[in-house]
Amino acid sequence: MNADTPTAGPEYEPATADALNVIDLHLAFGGNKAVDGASFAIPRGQLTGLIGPNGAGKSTVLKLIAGSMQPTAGTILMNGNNISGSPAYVVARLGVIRTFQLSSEFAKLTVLENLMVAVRTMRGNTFVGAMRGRRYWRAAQDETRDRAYVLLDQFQLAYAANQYAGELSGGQKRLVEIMRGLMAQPEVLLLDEPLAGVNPTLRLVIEEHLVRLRDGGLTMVMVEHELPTVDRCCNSVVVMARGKVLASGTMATLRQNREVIDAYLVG
Amino acid sequence: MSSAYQYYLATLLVYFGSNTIACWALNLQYGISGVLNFSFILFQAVGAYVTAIFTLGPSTSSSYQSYIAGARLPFPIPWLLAMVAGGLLSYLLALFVLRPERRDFQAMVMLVVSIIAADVVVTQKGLFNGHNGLAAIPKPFASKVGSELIRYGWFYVALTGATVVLTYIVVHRITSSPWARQLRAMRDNSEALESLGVNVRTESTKVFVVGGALAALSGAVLVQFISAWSPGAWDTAETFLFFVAIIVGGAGNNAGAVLGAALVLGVFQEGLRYLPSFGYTGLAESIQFMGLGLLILAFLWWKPGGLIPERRRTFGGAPGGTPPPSLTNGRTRFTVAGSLTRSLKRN
Repeated sequence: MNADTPTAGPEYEPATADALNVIDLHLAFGGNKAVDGASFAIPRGQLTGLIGPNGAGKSTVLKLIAGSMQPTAGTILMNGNNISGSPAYVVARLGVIRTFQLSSEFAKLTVLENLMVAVRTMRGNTFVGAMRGRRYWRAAQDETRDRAYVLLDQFQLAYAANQYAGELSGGQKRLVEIMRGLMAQPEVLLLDEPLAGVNPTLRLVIEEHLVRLRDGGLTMVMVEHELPTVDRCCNSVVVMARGKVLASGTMATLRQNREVIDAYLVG
Repeated sequence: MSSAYQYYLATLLVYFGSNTIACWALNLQYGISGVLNFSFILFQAVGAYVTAIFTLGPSTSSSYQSYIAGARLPFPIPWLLAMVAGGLLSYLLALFVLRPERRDFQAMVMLVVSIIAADVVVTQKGLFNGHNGLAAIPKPFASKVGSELIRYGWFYVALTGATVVLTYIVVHRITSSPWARQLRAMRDNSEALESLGVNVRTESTKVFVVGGALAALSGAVLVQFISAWSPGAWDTAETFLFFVAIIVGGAGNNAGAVLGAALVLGVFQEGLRYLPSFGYTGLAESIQFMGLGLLILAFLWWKPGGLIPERRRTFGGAPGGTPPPSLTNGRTRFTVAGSLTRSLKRN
């Protein structure tokens, strides 16, 4: 078996309805517990919100799931495989793609290239493939380009295809990041504050896209501060505070939860 | 043209060819992939030394210079071995140096490795003859072409030219491929690329090895022309000459690398030879390096893309990807597309 391929521990029995299971996750920096025993499930085909006050550990949990950080303890299951502690590229190859809290476009690549680069397995994406010449990879590249254009059309950004991504506005960069994630054909898309710094009009546009993707059956996890957005987009919500999960459920039920109200919904 | 000028011209062209290969190598590593290889000159030196020891023949106790693993191999085997050695050294260095997410660490370690390597070669005379370096390195095909200086000089220009063409084919295939797009993405944001499933450490190692092998080839080309190589030729500061060339010419652009090689390593370096001598010994060289420093600062400040900036890769028209109506007719319409476009432009 490939050393990069994580294996499932025999003791785990993941629920098939869940795309991801986070079990007793911990991350400590010295004495500071950034994540302190967080456990929750991400249902398949739904958009799950991850909310909580600043410093609750939401983005850190997202990074731990994506493999960008390694937990000190705990388990992350994806389709029965324990992916906890796997490096980011392995987690991504298993289908978990993330976007970033701060814009992370490839600034000196065009918008179209930003999307095309997400197709990792395309012909010509290796040294050997490159040496085999244009004839070897041209058809695959054309196919990838056409796929990227379809996505650009859906997100109404085709007119900016040949613009450098670094020249785009903050909101456009967010859209490019989401499209880039989609080009990788993820099983789970992790969105870290995808609406941060985006103007109100474009927020609504991005929300519409997220709802469309959710309704299309894509599993997503979104860290978000704006509760109206969470209300409109998310099927269910996980509330975190001080590295722990306070509660989970729909926004309607969470509004009745005194602990959640005290920790986050008020103040 | 007098014989002296002919030979001078041939020498300039061989140097230009060798520098072009070296600049393409560094362009692959730094310009395309963002790997700050501050030990670049070390790889050129390795190529030169390996070529030398595999053409000089075995080192004997009676010979005036000592070195390791001597042999007398026919062309082009020494050049190929030089490339293998350059690639191998790159791989070994990559194992513990390449950290795409920590470019500061990477750059500093490479600089230190370059300094240590120079010290080791100078102090361990059994390796490559210490300070004196290696001399009387045989020239390829000298017995067939003849030892007449001008005739052989032009032959070597042709040999260098052929090597440059072959190198360009390799470099062009890489830089025009989807792999290069991945490498440029790695340069722009390695963490984001890793989150798309690309093992950036592996990819940066690959391009580092390719660049190291080509750098070694440039050393091989040069050493068999000048027939001598010593540690003075690969002082750590020499690395920065190549960086100046890449930045002035245009990082990320093969043509820019050629222009940088011609302007910085050719015109700028050679031009200073024609200045009248002044001041104490070594003052002109010091001023030359100060001039290079100012040149790199000026370009980074006013023209960071260099004289021939990296080319924007476009892929023709979008199938159905025309701009929204409000962009094409320049009028503001209260349509969904219009409101989206306006919001995108504002944000």
